Amino acid sequence: MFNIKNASNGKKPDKTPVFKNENRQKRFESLVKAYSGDLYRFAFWLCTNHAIADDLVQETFLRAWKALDNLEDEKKAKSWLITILRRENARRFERKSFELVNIEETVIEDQQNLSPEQSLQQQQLHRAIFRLEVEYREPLLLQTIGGFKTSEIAQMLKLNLNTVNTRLFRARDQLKNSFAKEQSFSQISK
Amino acid sequence: MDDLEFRKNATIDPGDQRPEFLGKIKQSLFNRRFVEEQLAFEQQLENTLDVSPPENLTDRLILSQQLSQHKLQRKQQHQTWLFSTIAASLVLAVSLFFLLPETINSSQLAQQIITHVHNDTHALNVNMDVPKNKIDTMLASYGGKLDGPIGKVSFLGLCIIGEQTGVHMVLNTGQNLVTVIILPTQRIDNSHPLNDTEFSGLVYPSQKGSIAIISEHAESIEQTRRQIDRNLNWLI
Repeated sequence: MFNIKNASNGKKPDKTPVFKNENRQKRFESLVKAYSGDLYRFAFWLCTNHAIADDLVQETFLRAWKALDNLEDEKKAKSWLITILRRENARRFERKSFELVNIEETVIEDQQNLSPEQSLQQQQLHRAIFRLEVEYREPLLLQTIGGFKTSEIAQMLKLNLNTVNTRLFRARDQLKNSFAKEQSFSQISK
Repeated sequence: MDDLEFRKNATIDPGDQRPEFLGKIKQSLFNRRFVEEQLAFEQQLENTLDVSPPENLTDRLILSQQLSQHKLQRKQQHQTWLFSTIAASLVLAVSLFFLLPETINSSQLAQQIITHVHNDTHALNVNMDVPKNKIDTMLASYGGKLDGPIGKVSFLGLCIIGEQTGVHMVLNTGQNLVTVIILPTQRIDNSHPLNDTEFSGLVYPSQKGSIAIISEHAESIEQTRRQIDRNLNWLI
């Protein structure tokens, strides 16, 4: 009837890392292979810059390597890595006044197999996501890219569940409004 | 689940599988269309968020970790090396402190030597005709070496001056007996004369420690000194 996909099962890791009976190096490499893609996507949408996202992911995995023995439950590897990445991003703010990213100039990749209209819509949505305040954007990314349940997001962001639900609702609401405005503007332009 | 909660839930998580949510979808066409719209938007959102990471990201992350690990190991090796070097330096310093000749007062040493010569008259009364190899063996135990002849040696023995040992030799020059006391572990800053009613001579700083030359005949002192200085060398 419906192609319903549970949000909590959104994006799954590319591979399930096998940790038992593997040495530390292999354990690390399986983490990299399983989660680097999602971590990169999360970092990019969080900081809205490819180069900074790359740096953030590098730093995250270096810290993860040093603290690998602290990861006792392999099922929590992804949330553990995301927590490290979020801390690294916060340190970026503490270290220096970073450059503001001009949303209009940020390179947005065109996905293959998209019609010109679809491509335009995607760019409009892309800009709308960039315009979301971080407090709305972050739980949305954790849900959509991370595949976390709302209860897990609440735990990671140290918020109560109602606040997370409210932010997720507002995030989508704002996205839709912003997206609709862009679309109506482009139709007027035509 | 009321309509408001349903709409909020459909917006936040249109893929919710709870029975009450699925039941609410079935209640009306409006609800069904609303969820379909949310799912379509969700799909569009997921497609947009699905940016590709750099192609070589995984390899770079592993390489970066390995370089970091290598640097850490190098740092640890350097620290170990540094620690070993410091420890070795300390051992060397302590060893040198104990092994280097002790600097003592030259007049005090001169007095001890005169006393020793007076007490050890036996050395002047024997003729052992000491072969060179025995002299070499004894000097070698202090790191000394004779590179040339020093004349006929009528006595050779170890002696104790103060709290240190030395080499006690008596040279027979043909005319006189000259006592030579080599003290490798007793360093003095200046030469000091050795004079009393019976003997004359001097104790002087050497390349290693000090040397005393004493005789009843003052004229033999300087010649013996030159001979000793010319032929006695120290390896360490």
